[in-house]
Amino acid sequence: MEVRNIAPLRLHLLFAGLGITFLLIFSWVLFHEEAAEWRTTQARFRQLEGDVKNPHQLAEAASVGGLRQVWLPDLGRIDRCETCHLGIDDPAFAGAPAPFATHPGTWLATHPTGRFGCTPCHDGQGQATDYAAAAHRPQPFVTRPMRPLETIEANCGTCHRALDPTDAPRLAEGRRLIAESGCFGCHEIPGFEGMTFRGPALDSVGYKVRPAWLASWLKDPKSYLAQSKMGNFRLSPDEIGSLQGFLLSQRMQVPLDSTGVDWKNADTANGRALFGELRCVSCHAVNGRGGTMGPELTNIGDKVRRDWLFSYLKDPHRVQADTPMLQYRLNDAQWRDLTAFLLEQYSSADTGAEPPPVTYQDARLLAAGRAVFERRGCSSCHRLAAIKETGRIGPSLAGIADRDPDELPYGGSTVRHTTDNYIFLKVLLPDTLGQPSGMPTFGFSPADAARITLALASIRKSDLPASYVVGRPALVPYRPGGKFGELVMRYRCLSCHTVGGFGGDLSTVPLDRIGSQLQRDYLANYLLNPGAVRVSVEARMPVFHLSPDEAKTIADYVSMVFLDDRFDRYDTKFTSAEARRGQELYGQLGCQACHQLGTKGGYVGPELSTTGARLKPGWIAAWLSTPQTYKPGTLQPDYGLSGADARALTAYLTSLGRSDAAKARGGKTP
Amino acid sequence: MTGRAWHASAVTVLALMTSAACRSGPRPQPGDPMLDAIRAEEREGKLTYVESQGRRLFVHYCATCHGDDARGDGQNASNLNPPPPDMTVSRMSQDPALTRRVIAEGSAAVGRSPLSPPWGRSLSQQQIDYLVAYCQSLGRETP
Amino acid sequence: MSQTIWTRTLTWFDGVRRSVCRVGWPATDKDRAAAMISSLFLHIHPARVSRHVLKPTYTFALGLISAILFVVLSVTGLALMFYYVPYPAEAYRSMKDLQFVVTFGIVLRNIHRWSAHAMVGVVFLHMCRVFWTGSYKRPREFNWVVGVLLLLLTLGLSFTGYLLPWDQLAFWAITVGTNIAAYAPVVGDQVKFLLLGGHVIGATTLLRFYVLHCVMLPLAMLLLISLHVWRVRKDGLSGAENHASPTEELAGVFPASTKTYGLMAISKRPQASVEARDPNDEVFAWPHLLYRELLIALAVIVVLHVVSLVFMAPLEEMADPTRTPNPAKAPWYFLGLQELVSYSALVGGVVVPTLLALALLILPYLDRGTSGSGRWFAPERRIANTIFTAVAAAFVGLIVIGTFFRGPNWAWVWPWK
Repeated sequence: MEVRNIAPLRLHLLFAGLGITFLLIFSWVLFHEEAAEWRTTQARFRQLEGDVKNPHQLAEAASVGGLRQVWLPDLGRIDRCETCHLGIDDPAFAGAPAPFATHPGTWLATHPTGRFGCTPCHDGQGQATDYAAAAHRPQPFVTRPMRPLETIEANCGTCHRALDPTDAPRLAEGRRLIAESGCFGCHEIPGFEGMTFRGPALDSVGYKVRPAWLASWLKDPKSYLAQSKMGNFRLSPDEIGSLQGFLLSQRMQVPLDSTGVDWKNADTANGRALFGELRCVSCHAVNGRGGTMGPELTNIGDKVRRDWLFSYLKDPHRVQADTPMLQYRLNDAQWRDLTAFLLEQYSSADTGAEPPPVTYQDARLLAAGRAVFERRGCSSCHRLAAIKETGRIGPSLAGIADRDPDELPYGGSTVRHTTDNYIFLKVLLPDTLGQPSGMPTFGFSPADAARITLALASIRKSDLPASYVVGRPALVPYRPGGKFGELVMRYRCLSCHTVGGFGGDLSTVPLDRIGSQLQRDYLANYLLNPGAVRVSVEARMPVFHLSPDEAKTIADYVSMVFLDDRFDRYDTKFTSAEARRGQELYGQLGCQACHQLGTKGGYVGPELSTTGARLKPGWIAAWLSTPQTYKPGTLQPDYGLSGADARALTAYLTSLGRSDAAKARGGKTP
Repeated sequence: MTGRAWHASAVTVLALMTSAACRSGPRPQPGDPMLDAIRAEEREGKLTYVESQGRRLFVHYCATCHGDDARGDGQNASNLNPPPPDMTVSRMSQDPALTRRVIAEGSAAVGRSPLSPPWGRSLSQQQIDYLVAYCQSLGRETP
Repeated sequence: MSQTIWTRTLTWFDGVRRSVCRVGWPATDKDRAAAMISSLFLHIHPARVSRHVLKPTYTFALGLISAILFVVLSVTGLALMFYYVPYPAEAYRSMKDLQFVVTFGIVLRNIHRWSAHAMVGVVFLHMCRVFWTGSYKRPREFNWVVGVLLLLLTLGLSFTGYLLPWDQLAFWAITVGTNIAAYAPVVGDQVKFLLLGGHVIGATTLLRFYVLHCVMLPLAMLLLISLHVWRVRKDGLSGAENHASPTEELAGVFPASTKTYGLMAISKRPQASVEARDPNDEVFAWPHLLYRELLIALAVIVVLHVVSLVFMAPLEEMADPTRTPNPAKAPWYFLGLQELVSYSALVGGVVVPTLLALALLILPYLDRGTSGSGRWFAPERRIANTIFTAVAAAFVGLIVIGTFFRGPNWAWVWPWK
């Protein structure tokens, strides 16, 4: 009845306005939820009929709905990528448009999404359900956006810790560069534990090198040796002067052993012959050709002093205990000739006469040089008795890939702040990151620096469950004792060969089961006069000038210790039918394409005409059946031979060269 | 009057919030030198990542006979009869299915000489894919 | 016939409505009064209110908005609890799930986040309004104290909630915040230890903050809000006296018993006796007050939705105790303190906050004069207003400096550079 005090009209209008606004906004919220990117994406997937024809795919496409995720409790990850990447593990969608296409390659066969999800390899934000938030491109607050394919191998390396992971060539190359450049001399680097990198010890460097060479070397090692593993420390002329003085004063031991050498009668022609006979180029390059285990000899005359070189060649292990160089058995005159040849042949035109050794007396200079040596961490690579070893001078690189990119220095450059970019710049140009750096400039090419970066970017704070880690087998240093051990040390067998993975990789033959592979007599002869088994391989086993006793010791030891019972149990009573069948197979399989037999065939693999005298049958059969098991990456293809076929081939190969080889050797075998 | 006051204060609140959000303006896109280095190398080699993977395998497994550039001039080629083909002009290497078959099952499997061995058991499927991709790229490279 | 059915249906519905609301449709003054008096939820309002109360420019509805925000926060907070796991990595994952998977999850979280920030601001402005209108004066001194406690509770709720997302922002803001608390003499470290459940922020801290944020502080808040509003109802809205007839101004705190009747003798409310008031100055709370309240609530919700659709609640990387951001900043409302701490830990961390809190709490008992109450910036209160405004402005200024002008190592930066 009373109509007083009713609300004024403007309030009603306001209410209507606000109410409509609210309804609009709320319906927009509803719409927003319903039109979520992943829903529209799935709707597009269901309309793929235009592209996919077969009924299976249509059924698959039609049934898709709702969020899909892979939960990886072990890895603490939830990946929802498959909400949109709906065809990722179904080969039927190979031709489908993005994002529905099948994963390229066969990666998912070895890395099924149910066990690995997506982000362990690709990075990005797996929990997200839209393109932007999934960090396909860099996003704020997403520390690890998706890696571009070019750098994805860094993530392979997080699980695959072997030095040479298969199918990740950039990573493998990066790790090889790290191993070769000895980064772990100064930095603790997970994955490279147990490796040591050593430059030569410097205790008697004063006897070894010429002063002018040392100064130029300290200024820029690459000016003398382009492949130098030592970086450029960017020393000032003052630092170079004092360091040079300090180093040339290092004459702790007297290593020289050249008194009474008749230099006047040195025969450089004989030296040249020896140089070839000893196969020096297997390890040392000259003029850019040859091995890389030892330093290149092209300008060796500019570098070393004559008496030191003579003494070193004569007994490298006494002059420099940690050298990988082996000790040959020659006489003084031969060493003299070789020394004279090297100094004459391999020195640049402007090399003057050898200056007499200088004795530095200036205590301040020596102290300054010593300070430089200590400050720049020279002792990380070079042993020097006068200097206490200080351990690694650089920071540990453990977990480097998980450093906060925004806290790292980038100098003045406007690069995107990522650990990748930081590592890259640091490796490439360590002194340009806006803070003083003791790290030398190694002169890597940008591509090499990028590969090293990849390898380092795989080093994360490891909380990976052990079941995901494909590890590098722990290396147990192999140190045999007794007379055999002495010979192994003297001839530095492990500079080239490996036992249990320990040792150098110059030789393609690991020694672990060599006793079951090779006939003992063949081995004993081979050690005395090593020929080329594989013509196409450039590096050769050196001619050691072993004594027959030494050869016998080695052959006996090896034939008794480095065995694999599986090969030795092989039944070696072959029938002639088997051998005939083997000969047929030899032609059918095309073995002659790579192997020489008599005068016919290729020279990719070893020459086979003396196989019977060289190899044991058990090994031949095993090798022919599954070559990759024994030597990953070998060029011997796996033909998938049946046991009978492998046996037939073995019978044929065993028959080759046996009778005449035994006859020829007669009783001369040591 | 009062309505206007409400309106004014609401606008102020919104304006304040918007201005806070717009503080940072767009900046020039910073570079990625590490990625650039890899891409520069790829451009130089004129091969994609997959093709360069294939090339790496090719150099290791195939080049002794087929030659570093697949021209059939490997160091072992002279020992072979029939000799390996120049794959840069061969139409066979342009057929991915055939290439795959020859690599995996050997040349004997397609009725040719047995000199090119089967790699199907030695190489992974992925590696063969890479090799096929590299062979595909060969026709593209014109001298 | 149809007429009858229509009428009967209406009557039936009216019966249902009446059973719920106890009174008829408020079409008459009597029913309008009854509507307010007979409802549990509405009887906090008087049946009739002064027109002065309805003037938006007097209170700016700041108290009401605070209460609405509290309700919004409670509702969204409860919804969020369905998804939240108070354990370090899981907590962060919950945030991601809310963002990417939970239906309306991101809107809920945004509304909760922005409401919380807004509430801190609105409560602060509410306090300023009360001061500038002199509304804390007798008989409302105690309600001012309750209000100050509510402000502190609001800060506490916001602060405890700040940690829950468990991202870098949360972790380091709380680290800085609790470090400020640790500056308190004697008890500082113990308080910090109690708060964190350890010496550093960890799983226990998260659980403690969660319980505080979801149970203890909201309950305390609810209790104090009830008290606060009840006192407003009992003490009346300030300023109403100024607009009443002159006789009312004689009504003191203890009105002469001769002028009161019955229960009114024990009511301490200024006796605005019905016959003494000008009926033209008053309107019924239904619909005039309620309608406006409804509009304000609607407006608040609309604004919150708009803001939540446009601005995402921040979520940085997962908390990493080994990666300290530079600068690490406390929640914005403590940045004034952090700014002070950067000059002197004792002053910023102890002296200033303690003095401020104490001063606010005992303020109404120091400033006993009653003149100038109920009007904005009454000239009689020029000195008090000037002091308060200066302190408030300084505090806001410090917050602005701490928020926008401090960069790495707390060095001065220009935000537009």
